[in-house]
Amino acid sequence: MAPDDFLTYARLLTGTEVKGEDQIDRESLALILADETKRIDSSQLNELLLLVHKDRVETPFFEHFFGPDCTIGQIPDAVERFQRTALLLYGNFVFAYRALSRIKDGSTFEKTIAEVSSGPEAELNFFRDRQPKLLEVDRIAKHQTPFVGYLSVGDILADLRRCELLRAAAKEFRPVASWDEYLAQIRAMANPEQFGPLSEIVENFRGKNSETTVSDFGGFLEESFERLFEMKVEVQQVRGRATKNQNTYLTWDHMDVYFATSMRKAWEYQDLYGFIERLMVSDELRELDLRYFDPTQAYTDNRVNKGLVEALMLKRARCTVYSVQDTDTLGKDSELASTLAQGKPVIAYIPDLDLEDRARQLVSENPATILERLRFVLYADEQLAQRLTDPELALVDRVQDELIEYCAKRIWLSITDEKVVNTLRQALGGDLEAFCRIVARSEKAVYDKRARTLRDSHPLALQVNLETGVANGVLVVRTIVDCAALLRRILLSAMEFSLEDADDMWYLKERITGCIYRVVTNDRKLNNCFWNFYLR
Amino acid sequence: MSSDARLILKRAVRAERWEHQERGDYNMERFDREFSDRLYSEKGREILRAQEQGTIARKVEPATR
Repeated sequence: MAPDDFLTYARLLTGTEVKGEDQIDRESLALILADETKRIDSSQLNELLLLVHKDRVETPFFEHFFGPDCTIGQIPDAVERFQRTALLLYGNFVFAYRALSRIKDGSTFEKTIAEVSSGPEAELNFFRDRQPKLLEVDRIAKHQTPFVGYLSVGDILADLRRCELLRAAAKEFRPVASWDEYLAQIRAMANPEQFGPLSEIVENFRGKNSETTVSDFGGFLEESFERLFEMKVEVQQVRGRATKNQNTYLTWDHMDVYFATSMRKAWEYQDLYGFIERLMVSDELRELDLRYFDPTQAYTDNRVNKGLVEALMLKRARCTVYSVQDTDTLGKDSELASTLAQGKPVIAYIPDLDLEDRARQLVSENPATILERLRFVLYADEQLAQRLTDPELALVDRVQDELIEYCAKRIWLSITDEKVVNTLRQALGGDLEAFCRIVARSEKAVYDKRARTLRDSHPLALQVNLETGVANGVLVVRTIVDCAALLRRILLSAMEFSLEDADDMWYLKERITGCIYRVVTNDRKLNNCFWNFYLR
Repeated sequence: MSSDARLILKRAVRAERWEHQERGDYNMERFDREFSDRLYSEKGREILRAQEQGTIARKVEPATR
């Protein structure tokens, strides 16, 4: 090893420049460093460090990073091992060197670096030896998960109350009453701004049933009321179970993973349910029998308590999996930030869509859902219209009109008339499939862009552990297989990294994702100001 | 008007029943109560009450207001 190379490694080890280079005895250095196979111990490393005007290290530091069989030629590897630990624990080479090199007691040293030095075997044994939980979650079925949210349930309750009013108005008439008389009665019974939606229900019924009477409508309302009431009871039962589940989550003594997601639309609940189900049965995770907070299985009717429960789960979980769905919402963005600020890992799962699979899935969705998907991509994909050819644009226009018409002519928002849906699907035929392919292509563009933004360009994809100042980066995965592999590595403390010196930065990049996990900037001014507020 | 603006601005001509979604609430009973209060006129509430009292024998959901 050449003296200049050793000066470089001394700089990298200590995080500071080598001062007084003109007073360094390079001839002696060259002699000592000439034989790269020569073994050195801690005292000899200290002599080398003092030769280049650097502080010496205590034995535990040497034994951990350099090891008992270290040779001159292995110094670079030892320095890199130190840099990785420094990045993971301190986000700072200077302070890491000062802190770790001065610890004299071996057990104190091991305790200090335990967070990043425990082996996968020990962690695996922890999971294997863990006792089963006393209370299991009462798993709510996929199709019922939207009932723990407020939007789907709002549709049911609004339908039920509107049906109740229309039914009460129908009861006030003899069977031969005219539609005009009936509408006048509705107008009298409803607040003025509510007449529009109510008359829309009446008109939609009449549109689907020619030559129908108020009496026929009364019969239909009786049936609808029964059905909507049953749905409300089902919601209450599901929420009762989900409330119990929440109490179960609160009592678990271990919490491994928190799943963060948007919880607005019905498909967001069902997508998350499907994602978690596939993730947890993967080979990598099944044996760990993880305990995770699944927001599709928990409920509280008090928004303040809901916020507190989720805050506690974020505090307790070892990491967060952020499922990137449609819109970036305050809720899940806050959950991402909260996890990073605690210095814990965040995995962002952004599906890498298979266009044909996704298009088929969309075709099978309710037309109202397909329309909402179009509205989402129109909002999120600024290039959509520019990418479409004129015939495609005309097709989107045409199918959108049909979907809008379908939505406007629904009698109830929460009851799907399968006959009407099938008629619409048949009428649209290949156009619906082509439309869904266009929406799927656009969804893919949106997700790909989100992945690039989070991985490559968003400044807040790296946030700071508020207690230590260590920068903490989001890890972006595009498949469930990668998500499972990464989650296993996180939980078993077996993450793998590459160390890169680029862009005037030191990056510690996670190997599966290629994402920046830790970073040290070489900006002198920023470093000085930043660490003045964290380490003093 | 650009193509995307044309697609975005398309809306059903008829009133959409969305107002209740804007006022969504995790508390089902409160949402139900408030929605019902907004839905009925005073006269409507009287008629509903009278019908409920007159049809006790029938299976009718108890009023939540």
